[in-house]
Amino acid sequence: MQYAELHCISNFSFLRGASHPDELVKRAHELGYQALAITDECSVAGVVRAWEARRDLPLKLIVGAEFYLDDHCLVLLAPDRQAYAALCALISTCRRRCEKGQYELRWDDLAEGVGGCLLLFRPANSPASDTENALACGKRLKAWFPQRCWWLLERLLENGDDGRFQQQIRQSRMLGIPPVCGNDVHMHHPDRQRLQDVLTAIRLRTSVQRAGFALAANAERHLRSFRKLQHLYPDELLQETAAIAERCHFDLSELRYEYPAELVPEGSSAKQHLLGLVMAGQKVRYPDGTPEQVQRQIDYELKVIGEMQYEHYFLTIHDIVRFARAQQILCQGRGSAANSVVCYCLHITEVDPLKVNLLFERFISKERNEPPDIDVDFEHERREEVIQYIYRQYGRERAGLAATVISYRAKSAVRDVGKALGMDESYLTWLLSRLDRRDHENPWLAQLATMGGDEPAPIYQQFVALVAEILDFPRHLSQHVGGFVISAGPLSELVPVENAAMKDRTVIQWNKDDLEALGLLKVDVLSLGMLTAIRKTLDLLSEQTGKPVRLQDIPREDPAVYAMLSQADSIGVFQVESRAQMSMLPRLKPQRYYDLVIEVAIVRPGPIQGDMVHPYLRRRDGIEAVDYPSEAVKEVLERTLGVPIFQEQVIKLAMVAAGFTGGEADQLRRAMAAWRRTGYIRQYQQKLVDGMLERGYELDFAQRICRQIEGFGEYGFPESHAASFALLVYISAWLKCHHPAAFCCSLLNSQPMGFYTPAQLIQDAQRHGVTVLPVDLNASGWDHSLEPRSPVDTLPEDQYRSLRLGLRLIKGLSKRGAEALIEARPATGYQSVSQARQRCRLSRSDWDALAAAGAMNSISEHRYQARWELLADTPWLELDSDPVAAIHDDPIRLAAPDEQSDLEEDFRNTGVSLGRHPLALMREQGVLPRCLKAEQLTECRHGQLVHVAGLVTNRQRPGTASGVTFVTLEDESGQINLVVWQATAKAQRRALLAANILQVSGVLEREGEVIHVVAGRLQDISFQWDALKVKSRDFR
Amino acid sequence: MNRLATERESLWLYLHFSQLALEAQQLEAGIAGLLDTRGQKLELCSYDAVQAGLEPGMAIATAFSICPEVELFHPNPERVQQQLEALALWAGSFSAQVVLYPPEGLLLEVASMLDYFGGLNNLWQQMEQRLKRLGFQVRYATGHTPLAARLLARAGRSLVIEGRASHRQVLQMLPLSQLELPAKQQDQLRGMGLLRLEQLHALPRDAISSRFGVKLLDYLDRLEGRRPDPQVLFEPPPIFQQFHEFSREIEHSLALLFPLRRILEALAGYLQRRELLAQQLILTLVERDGGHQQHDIGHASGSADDETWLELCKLRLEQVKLQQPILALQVEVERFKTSQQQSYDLFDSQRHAEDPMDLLSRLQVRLGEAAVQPVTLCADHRPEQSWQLKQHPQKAVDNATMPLPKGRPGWLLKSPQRISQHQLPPHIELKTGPERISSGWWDAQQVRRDYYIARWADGRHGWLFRDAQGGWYLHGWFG
Repeated sequence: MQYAELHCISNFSFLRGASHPDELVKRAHELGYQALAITDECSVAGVVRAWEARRDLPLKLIVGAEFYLDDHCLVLLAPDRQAYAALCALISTCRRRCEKGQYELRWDDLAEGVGGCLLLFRPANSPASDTENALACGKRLKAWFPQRCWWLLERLLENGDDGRFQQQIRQSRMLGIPPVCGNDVHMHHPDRQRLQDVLTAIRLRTSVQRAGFALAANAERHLRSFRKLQHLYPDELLQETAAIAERCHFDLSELRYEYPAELVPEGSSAKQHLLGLVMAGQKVRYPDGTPEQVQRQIDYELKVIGEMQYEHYFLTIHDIVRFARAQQILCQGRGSAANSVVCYCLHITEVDPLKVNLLFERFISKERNEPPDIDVDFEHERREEVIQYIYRQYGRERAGLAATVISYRAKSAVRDVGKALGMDESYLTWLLSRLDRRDHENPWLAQLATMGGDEPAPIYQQFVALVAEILDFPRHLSQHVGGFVISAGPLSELVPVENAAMKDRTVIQWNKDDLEALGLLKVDVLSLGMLTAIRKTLDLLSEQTGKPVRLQDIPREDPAVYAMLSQADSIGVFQVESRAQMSMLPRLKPQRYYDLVIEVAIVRPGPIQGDMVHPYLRRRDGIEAVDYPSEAVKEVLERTLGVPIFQEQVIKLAMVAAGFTGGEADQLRRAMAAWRRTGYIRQYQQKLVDGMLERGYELDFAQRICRQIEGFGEYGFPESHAASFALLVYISAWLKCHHPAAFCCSLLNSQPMGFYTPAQLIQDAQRHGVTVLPVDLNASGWDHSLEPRSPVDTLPEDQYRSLRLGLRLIKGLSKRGAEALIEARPATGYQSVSQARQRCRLSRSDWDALAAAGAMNSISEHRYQARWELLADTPWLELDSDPVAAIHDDPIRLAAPDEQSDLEEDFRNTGVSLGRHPLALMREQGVLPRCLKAEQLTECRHGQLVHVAGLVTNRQRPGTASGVTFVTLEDESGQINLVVWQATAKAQRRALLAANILQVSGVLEREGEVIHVVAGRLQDISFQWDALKVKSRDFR
Repeated sequence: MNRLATERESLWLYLHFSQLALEAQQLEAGIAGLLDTRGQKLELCSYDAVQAGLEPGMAIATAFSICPEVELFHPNPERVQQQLEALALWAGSFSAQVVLYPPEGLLLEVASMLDYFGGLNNLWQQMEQRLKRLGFQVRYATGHTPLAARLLARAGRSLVIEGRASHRQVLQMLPLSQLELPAKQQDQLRGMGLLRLEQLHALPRDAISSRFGVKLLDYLDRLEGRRPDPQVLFEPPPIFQQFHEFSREIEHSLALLFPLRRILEALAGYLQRRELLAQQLILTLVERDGGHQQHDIGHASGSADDETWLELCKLRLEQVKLQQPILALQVEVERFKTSQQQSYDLFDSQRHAEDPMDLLSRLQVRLGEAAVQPVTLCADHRPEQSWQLKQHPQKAVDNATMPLPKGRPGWLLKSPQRISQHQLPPHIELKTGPERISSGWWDAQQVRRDYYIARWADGRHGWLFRDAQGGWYLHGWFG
């Protein structure tokens, strides 16, 4: 028997379809279907996944979509590329008419026949009186879709099913529209009925108990067996499905290689043009002539690019980067292909692959036939300019953002399924609060199962099963952070385009993986705060020296920079400023660029879970011998002393040590990326262990590699990205080391970014000898700035050392108000509150914000008085022609704030205080008996009992160190790192979780220069100063 | 110390039941918290909860991680209002002039009660004793103006004094943050170092009004009695009826005593205020399945004393064995008598002009719920679940708009009757079908059936189905 299911939605018809596309494909194949059409509602978002699943199966996949119009169901199928383009265009039209997630089809849209699409028409299931209407619609459609229109009959055994079936047959005969059968498939197997009901309840924001007739009456919307089909439909109808399938021969693989071509000048070929650009770049990069080795590498790379026909791709990236450079927008490429000599010559990256002795074998993988991977980071404040350029250059019809599929995760699954089962919301919150998703020994789903008690109620068991089932179900499409697709023809003929939530933004219906699978070109235009900060620092330095300072002008491999980093002096430095990185720096003691590449990659779940960190450190310190189990392994691991650190190495190991083929290794890489969603990785892990044991490797080593693979799944970090990041680590560290004031100033002007608050960045700068001046209406600009120091203590090499805080720091001050204030500022500055008020008309709240922040302290007695004076109505200002005469001092004198109140007001109104640290005040008041300062801890010995106190600036429970909470305290002399073990945390949870100021007794531990206090007794002493609140980063 | 009535200064007492939103829902003391309206943070914590380390403002997840056994309640403003009104009735024992300050405050005029109680201290001592029995956390203060009493109470001053001058003195030290001012104004006052009322007093009135507006001056004037501040008095209802729906089911009859005590305390206040005695109470317990248990409790000579009534109720409840958990409790007074011994029956009174719904509810009370019940249709695919008695209206749909599925019989059998296993008898002929119904997996009544309309040899049409095991059942008849 031949049968093709022509009406089938997947879970990409969000909250309707109850099966993944690949489940549908596999089931259709098992049942012996000839073909399967995926016809999601006004969408093709699921077809690529179906297409991938079908790859090795003898099952034809038909691309289509269903639409609802006046309750009639219309299914369109694409027989060829042209029809597919028309279908995509139609979907785009319907989607663009409506807000995100909605669509609207109109009859007129169909009048032209949708480019040869085949149409299946199933009239609305309405009372007999509407027969007229159904017939009229049928007639019209038949005229619009000549020889391409069918009457879709679907027997779902609902109320009145058999009568309706007969009636429909009669109607189709009356109009001469051939009937065909379908099954309105929503799930691959009837077992999904429960989930389908739950999805319906979620979609309608109700529970299954209350959803009533909105739920399907039965489970018949599944892929049916031949036996059942034959029982329900006459043979002609079944044969007709096969005949229709026969007419469809469009395959998604036809979409390859539709790259934009206009960047190539007329009369030249893409190949020639790229070669020309590379050669021009060589002259800049290698002014003394290209070394022979480099030339060989360039020739090789160009050859591969040519073979794969990727010239247009490199030209496109080059064009975007060229635009950014022309606008002085800092950018930096990363990814395997980015770290090539070609990209270095095209200025896509500043990493010189040769200087750092880092030639990637995996430049482009020919076997895998996948497009090259280049992400480009831009300054975060200016990325929008680049995006706008892309839209301008290629037009909105040809450039679009890739989608991100938002899918069910633990939290959303528990919440939505629970609500759909009628569970109380606070109960669900309670359940969620008790799940530890980082516990690798006991996965959260297993934890959830045990929370129903020893004998869980049946509904609870169903709840757990349904939560597991709904995981990874897509919920909606969102826009990808920066993945652009650029096509040769109109984008909407390649893939439908729909509205994003953000105004004037559109997204395509496919995500990055889909694009990658189809081999479509995508360019990742990402934003990076550190690039903004670096560019601003370079601008300050250029201004200071009077000549432009560029990225490439920064001296490389400066020992002072490495010395600084080795001391964990890295606040503000890209990537290595977190507490975990800070405690790694003194152990790893980076001495050269490649050490930074490792530093960036090693404090990640992969190497940590694989237990690779300590072996690496031991080998680096010469404590452990560097050896390799085989020559093949040596080649892979030599640059990391025999210890696998990077994702690429692990994949390569699978090939050389466990006998994976190239294709299998590629599957492993994909499975790794999807591990958390699918858990498919187990089969590869087993294969890896077996393969390695077979080849004589040790079990322990093999198992550690397996754990590392899981870690990479959580947060993959390839060497190619680490290499690009490491360069920014070096550059930002160099700036911090040699120009701390300019660097801090630029970091503050680029907020929000990074790990630390402005207050912490400022304190760090102060500790490095930078003079920081308060925000002042007579001296501050909107941005933070550098001021020449007073002539008395001018330092020879760096005259711009004082950092003046800017008005942007003031909470509640509008930018417009600040600009008006600066505009009207006399050369000699404002002399008094009343004069300022007279010259400059700001809103009452702007004045109040200025006064509250202490920005008027230089012209008033103190902030209380300034606020008092500024709040008064001053009608007389308008009337009097000679304001100075009219201005009389306010007779009322308010008392001045004390130091503590001043500090509080500073924090409250600017988040920063230049006064003494609160802990210094408390210490002076004698409320911290016996407590040591952070700086005194360096003099303590290992194992000593110490008492410390500080503001809690950070609490963290990293997934890589289960059971431990890391707390960072800050006092007037620096940071104190606490380690709180689980038992301690449990016993003193309240103090740990709720305190703003903690006093701690504990044991000091030191390992080299890394000092921790292992907490014993925690005491919340916030009451000693309860008005003071420092923003604390809680568990993340 | 006798004062002339004309000279008497006004004196108010304010009771601030700071935890009422939580305590009104709690059935007994314990670790409990009230959630905010978004259900994410703790708004209030019981005394025991604070001892266990919880505090208001804490995220629910933090609260659970500190104290997994905490009992959480969602805000239930209706219940709180009910409880506040009950407290106002209770306060009738101490003052004839009671003012409601929802959601959690009561203001009592006490100047006119001083003679009756023999001075403020005596009044307070008696009140404090009674308050303790109620078991609500309370902050209190006297004031020479309503606002003064309210602010001092909310500030937790626990103040019971007389005299305008002494109150003024205390007010001087009142933190300005206690004033009910807009957040922005609070912020500005603090931002000028103005922290206490006395600091504001030191400033000229026009300087204040030009910065903060006349509204602030008005407010201060009402606070200090320079401006009248008329109050709307609480009027007790003509009948005494208190209904308490519990936040969870009660399984032991004696556990009812805690909520009952609070109701009877309110009764005592009600009776005293109106100079009445109660002769008979009706205690109604609402059971889980919707049934009611009614207990008539009488006191031959009548009593206004809550302890007496509590004792009587206790005696009765000790004999009661609960068949089902109790969801709610109602107390109403069936017979009153005035202190002049004149008794009358509530049901004789003319007030009860008959309204059909009243009749229905009284029929239900008298004949029992089960005897009088309307039928409604429900949105459910399962025939057994597609109608119900109007007891649990969650899924009931409007009869007028409900589409009656075609091909359903008017007469549904109470439960399906087995016809045969596998083979259908020859006298039954299937006409239409199947209609497959497979639904209800979420409760214990899942069905998987194929329904048919069939014709019997004698011409009757029946509705029958085959279940997943192949058995045939009759489920209804067509008219």
